[in-house]
Amino acid sequence: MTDQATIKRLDKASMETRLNLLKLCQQTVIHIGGDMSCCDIMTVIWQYAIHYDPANPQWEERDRFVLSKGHAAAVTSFSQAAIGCYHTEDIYKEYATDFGRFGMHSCNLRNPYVDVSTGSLGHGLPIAGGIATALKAKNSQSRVFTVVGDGECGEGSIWEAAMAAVKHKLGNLIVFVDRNFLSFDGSTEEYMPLNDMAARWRAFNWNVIEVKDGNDMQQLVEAVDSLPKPDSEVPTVVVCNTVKGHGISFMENNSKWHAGMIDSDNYQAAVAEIKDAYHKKWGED
Amino acid sequence: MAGMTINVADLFSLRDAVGACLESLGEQYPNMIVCSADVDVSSRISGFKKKFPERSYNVGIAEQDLMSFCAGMAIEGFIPFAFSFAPFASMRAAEQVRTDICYSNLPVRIVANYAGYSGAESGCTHCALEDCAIMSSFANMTVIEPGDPFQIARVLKATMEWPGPVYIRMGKEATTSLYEESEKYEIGKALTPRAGEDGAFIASGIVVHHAMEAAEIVKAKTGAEIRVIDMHTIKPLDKEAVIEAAKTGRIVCAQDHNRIGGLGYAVGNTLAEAGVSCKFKILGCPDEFVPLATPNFLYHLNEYDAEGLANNMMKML
Repeated sequence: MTDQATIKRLDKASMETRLNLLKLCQQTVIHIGGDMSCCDIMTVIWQYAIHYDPANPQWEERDRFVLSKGHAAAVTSFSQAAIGCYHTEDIYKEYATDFGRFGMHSCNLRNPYVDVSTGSLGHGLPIAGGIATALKAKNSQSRVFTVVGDGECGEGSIWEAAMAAVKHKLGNLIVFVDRNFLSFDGSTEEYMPLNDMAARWRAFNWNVIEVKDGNDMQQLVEAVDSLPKPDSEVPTVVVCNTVKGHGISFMENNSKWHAGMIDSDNYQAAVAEIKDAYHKKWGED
Repeated sequence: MAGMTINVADLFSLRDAVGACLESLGEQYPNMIVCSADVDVSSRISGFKKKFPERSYNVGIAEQDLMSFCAGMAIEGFIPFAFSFAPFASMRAAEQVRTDICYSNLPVRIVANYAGYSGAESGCTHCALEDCAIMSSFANMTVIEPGDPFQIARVLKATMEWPGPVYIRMGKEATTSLYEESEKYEIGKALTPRAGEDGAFIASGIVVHHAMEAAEIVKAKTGAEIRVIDMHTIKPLDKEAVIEAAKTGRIVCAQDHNRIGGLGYAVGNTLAEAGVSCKFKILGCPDEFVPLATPNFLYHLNEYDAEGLANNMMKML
């Protein structure tokens, strides 16, 4: 059992990232729904699991990170800012500006903290497979973390990479699937059913960890604690059942909040709800 | 002949030079790797695989994964050679090449067999008539079309010191070389295997060989001396060689590729932007799909065999 101080720290970090996202969403369009669903996953990766030196983004021994669902760039940027890669204020200043480091999708032409430029779905995991293979060839002990959307799993290239990762024995490859059941148009189960996501990966011979509630920090930390060693030989997928727009009742499970901006009234209500949830759980602000 | 079996792989044109060259480069460059999508045998990379099994990867029939996988390996400092057939490398995996490789300017070398009509007996599924247009439009991409086994070996070697991604389109290969072993080869610098001041053929790949024959035909029939320019690098184009060729007053530009978007367009654009004028003709594949046929038949039909090239030049004299 992980100590509660750690869970509390991560819960608080997640709350702060959610507040940052809401603030950014007031000034510009972001993929707020998907940012919120994977916010806790991103927190546990960046503020608990990853081996990383914010002072040296090219550090050879770092764990790599590939954002396969590239539209979750905002939540990634704030999670990186939380460990010192940037000043949080810079994200507000530069987001969607000319030649800025931050925007709707991750781009590494100006931002050295982005290992791979992403945005087109179904590309991140295949590239992560190449990186993980290269790390193995270099006898590196680094891992590659990647976050894949559930809707993204409709791309055939995801399954090409899933096969290759098993063949290449990529025990250093860790995939988090943000299973929020919603894509742009609506329910994944309506538009292209994915059914039992974990079973699909199991059928491809991956090591599968299921997180019943992927917005629960305790469960996410337990999943990370149970990851195999980087020199193991089977890739791991952590299938996280999440809620799109998690934490804000009027956004939850509502595909209208896939991407957009928030007005002042909604912003106030959302902030209050997020702060309230943390207060209720931990008895402090 | 009863009981005789033919191995399909042996029917491909001379790619053995590629295989031999890969092995020697592999010794020289420890960070070089070879990846393929189920074309090890037909691409002649089995030798490299045998010699460097730990640096050989085959992702199966998955061209999209091939390109993304190579991007990932390149990010980590390897120099991947990705082998596929040109139609699949340039079209099935176009977005992976553009977004995963070119966007980050990664040194992946794509070696694509079956460019142009070289695989015409297999039908249009196995012909890349568009690859040059597609690949040339990707920022950071270098596009090369070697013409014979010796040149291919030089191209592969030259890419090792060349930055960014490279697409090497391998069409029908000549079995002889136009060059001496000592001939200097530079990416982006046209070769001139035949001098002449009365007109110029600008071509790439197998068509350079047709142009050499065509120049002899023209000389025999008219006495005119026609220059032959081997424009092995489509991008970046050797503009100086084009502008010099225009001074002869006549250019026939031919490539085994759709006339739209290929070498001819690049040369025409160079002439127009330089404000240089001369008689000018583009030859290549017509803008249509054709039934199953042999390459030589199609080259003849579309006038970029030796006879067709000669006739087109003589019309301009």
